[in-house]
Amino acid sequence: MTDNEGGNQKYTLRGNYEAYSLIGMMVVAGVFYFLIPYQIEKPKMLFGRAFMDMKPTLFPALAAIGMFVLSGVALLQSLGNPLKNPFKGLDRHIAFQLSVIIVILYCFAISFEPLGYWLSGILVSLTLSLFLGNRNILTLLILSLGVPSFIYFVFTKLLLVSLPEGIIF
Amino acid sequence: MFESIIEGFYLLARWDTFGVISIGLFLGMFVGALPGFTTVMAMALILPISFFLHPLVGIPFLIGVYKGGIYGGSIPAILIAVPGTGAAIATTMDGPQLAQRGEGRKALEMALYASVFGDLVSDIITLFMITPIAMIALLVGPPELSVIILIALVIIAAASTGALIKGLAMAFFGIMLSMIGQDPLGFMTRFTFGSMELKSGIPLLPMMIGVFAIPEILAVLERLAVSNKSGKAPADLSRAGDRLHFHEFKRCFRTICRSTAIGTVIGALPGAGQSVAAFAGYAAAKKKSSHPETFGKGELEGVAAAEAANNAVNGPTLVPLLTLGIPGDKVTAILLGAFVAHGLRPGPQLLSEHGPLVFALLLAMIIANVMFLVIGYISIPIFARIVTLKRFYLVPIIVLTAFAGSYVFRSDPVDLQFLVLFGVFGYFARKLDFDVVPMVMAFILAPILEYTIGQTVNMADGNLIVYMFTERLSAGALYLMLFATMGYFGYKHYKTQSSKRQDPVLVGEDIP
Repeated sequence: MTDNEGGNQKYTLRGNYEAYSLIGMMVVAGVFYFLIPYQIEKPKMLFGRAFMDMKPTLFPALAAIGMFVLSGVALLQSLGNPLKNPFKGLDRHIAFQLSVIIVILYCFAISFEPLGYWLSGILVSLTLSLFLGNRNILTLLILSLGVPSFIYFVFTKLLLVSLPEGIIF
Repeated sequence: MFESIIEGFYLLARWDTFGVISIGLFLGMFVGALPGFTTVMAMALILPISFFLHPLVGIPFLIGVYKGGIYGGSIPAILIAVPGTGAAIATTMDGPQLAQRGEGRKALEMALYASVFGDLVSDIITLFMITPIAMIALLVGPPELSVIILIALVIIAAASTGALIKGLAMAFFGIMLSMIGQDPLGFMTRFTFGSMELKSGIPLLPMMIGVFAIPEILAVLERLAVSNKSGKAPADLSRAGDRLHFHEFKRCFRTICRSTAIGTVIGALPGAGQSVAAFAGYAAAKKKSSHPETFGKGELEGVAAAEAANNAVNGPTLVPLLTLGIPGDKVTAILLGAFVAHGLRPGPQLLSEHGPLVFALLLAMIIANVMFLVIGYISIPIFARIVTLKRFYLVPIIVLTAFAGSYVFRSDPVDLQFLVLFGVFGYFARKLDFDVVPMVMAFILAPILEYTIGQTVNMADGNLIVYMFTERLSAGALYLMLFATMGYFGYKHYKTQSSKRQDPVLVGEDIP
């Protein structure tokens, strides 16, 4: 599946991110298919007869086969299509910035309960605003204190839903 | 039906409904006016809030955001030639030229009136169309419903942004994700890998907020970083100009009516959506015009055609959702979540079980249009100024709302990890041109599909094909229709691929 010229067209896998994703999808579908016997409970029986006529493995198997076949067809098409780099323009600096944002989001997710919504919200607001280039102290304060407090108030006092209180409230 | 409509009127007589519609319209216009942030994202963020409100407050809130957002997208489309939402792409053909000529205010007002007219008329049609369709839907049994779902999935995949095959592969991926947890027939555990967290399945809300909201934040940040590097200055929005005159509106009225009809028909089809309607309305207006050469050069009729058509989609898009329980696009998928959270299961039984409530919601949509006219008219100058609002003010607000909304659904911190995971997945899917809509739709519809197929197999007593083509002729006919639909889209896809391959390909041209 490496470079293979055919007329005015080249088929290539190298640098074809779409093809990599489709191979990934085929692998996921394959793993899913082979896990079916181990990951699906045996059907419940009623007077020696299964509760439903349809085998519980049928639908998952059809889904896995469908995804595998379609991803395979899409892969074959992708190899013949013009190469397009979706990450063009995403240089190392921007990629780093996006990675940092994802890390901040993940940290927010794991600190949400131990620190509480309000405190973790303040930290995340402040970090995100600073990271995105906000250097105005007034707006930084309003954003990092006001936004989590307002959302906390809306959810807990107006909608009467609980958000984690954490170490402050 | 008329008794239910009158009862619906009584149910609707509450101030908080109109209060939240106003807030929703304002919020929707705000988000729509910001290029990069979409109505779907705003609705996904509002969805968990709507769970804790009365159905006649929570659902109209979402409807308000939806209506406001679709119009809001036209504001940057007209002023800076950047569509705020996908629905406003056709508006960029004439809107910016009008703004450059100093007629920005005129274009914005035309967009508002055309939007309100298109939306209002299509909502009224929906109100009267829904009962006969629901009566037909009552005749639909599990065999027919299973095939209707399959047809809807094929159409949604075909209407997705990437290639058809990729759309279908994503739909199958959504089906696979829906299988994690318990099966809907025998409630047996599957694909949980021994994890208690996965026993109740992948939560829908963090998934929706994740794939619809987080990738937009990342994409906006990416654009922000690129524009900071290139040092591009934001556009000047000071141009306002004259107001729209009645004779100008009158001149465009035929076009608005035509686009409304087009949008109404397209709205009832699953997957087609506002963008398709806007382009179809625009193309029809240009074709019928006595001066087609002015289109694309700042023609007011062009703005009216696109805006009336894209807003006319809003009402009819609810028809497949309310009558068959099948969401036709991302917006109705979110609305389905809101209905289910309020104990209202969309489908053939909904109208017979909750008729007055459904009519109250449809009436709320109609009244929302009238409110929209007033709110939109007053707030045009405000929203014209926020088009270039700095993104670092908004990103923390969106992130904090997304996390709070995802958490309150089940109060499980694991959901926040799902949120981030689906957010990152959605970002890469968008980058690689894999549309997440078929995945989300399939995720929602797969349990119903599996259940109806299971019931059909039981009914057929093991002889499925004979049963379909002897006892359930309607289902058999629908299956033939499914194959015909697949064949049609497959052929179209093949033709597209063939024409692509006729062009010379430069391998590696795009690779850094």
